[in-house]
Amino acid sequence: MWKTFLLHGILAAILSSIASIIYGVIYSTALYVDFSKVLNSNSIIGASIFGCILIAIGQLLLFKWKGEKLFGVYNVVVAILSFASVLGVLGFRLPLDIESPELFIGLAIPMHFFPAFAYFTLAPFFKR
Amino acid sequence: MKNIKLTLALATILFASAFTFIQSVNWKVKEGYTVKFTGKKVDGIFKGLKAEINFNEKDPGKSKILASIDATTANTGSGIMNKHAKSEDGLNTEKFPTINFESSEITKMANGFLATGKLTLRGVTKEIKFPFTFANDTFNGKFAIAPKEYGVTRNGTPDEITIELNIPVTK
Repeated sequence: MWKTFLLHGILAAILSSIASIIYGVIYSTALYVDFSKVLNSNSIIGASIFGCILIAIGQLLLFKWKGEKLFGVYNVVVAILSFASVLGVLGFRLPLDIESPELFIGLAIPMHFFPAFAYFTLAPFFKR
Repeated sequence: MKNIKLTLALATILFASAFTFIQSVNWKVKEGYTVKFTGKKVDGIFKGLKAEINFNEKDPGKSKILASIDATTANTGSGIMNKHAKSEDGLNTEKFPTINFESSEITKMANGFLATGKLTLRGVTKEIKFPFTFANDTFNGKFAIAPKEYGVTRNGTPDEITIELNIPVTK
């Protein structure tokens, strides 16, 4: 059973990474900004893997405890935590040599929702 | 008679060269300068420094420094804090886009120099004094100001901000 959750987490991480990288390229090109010093492909992939595997582990533990009964509540909790993580972006301070830090928020905040979004999107393809 | 003329000419040249020697030097600000500001829970940098520096370390009394900083370049590393810093009750950069300093006196001290002059920030001019050093064609100085005295009333503004200058120059 744990393999299903792990596969779900890994595929969600890949989907989240692809979405974040594409969004990052479009955003940076459109607004002529470069935040690659703090937010680049490596950090995006790392954060996506961390987020998606964490969601998968949480769901696996919940499944072992109560079955699928609380999956709806779990999804709500994951969505709320994703939303709360946005506070980290608002309080984040960039290195002083990076210009236009006010535009960093628009790049990073949507990315905080991508792991949960990717995990929920792929959920119907995984039977428990 | 010829000898007298020659002696006078030599004396004139020597006299003039002495003045040439102590003449102040015009310095231009080089790239790579830093103007840092530090306060409680806030720190950052300014860019856009322009300065007319007429300085001779051997004769600082005749020196003069005119400097301006583009206040709109204030960068704390946080977009939200930058917005607060530039807001109307902050630096009000829309109305007062530059911070200016004009020296009135530069004196030599045991370990460097002391600059006295007028700092205009947010349209308010106050006299400040700060010590600085000049070595390897670089000016280094530090001084503190109270933002409230210049009309900065934004919530969260520190009572004191320290400005640190590191300005490499070239002739």
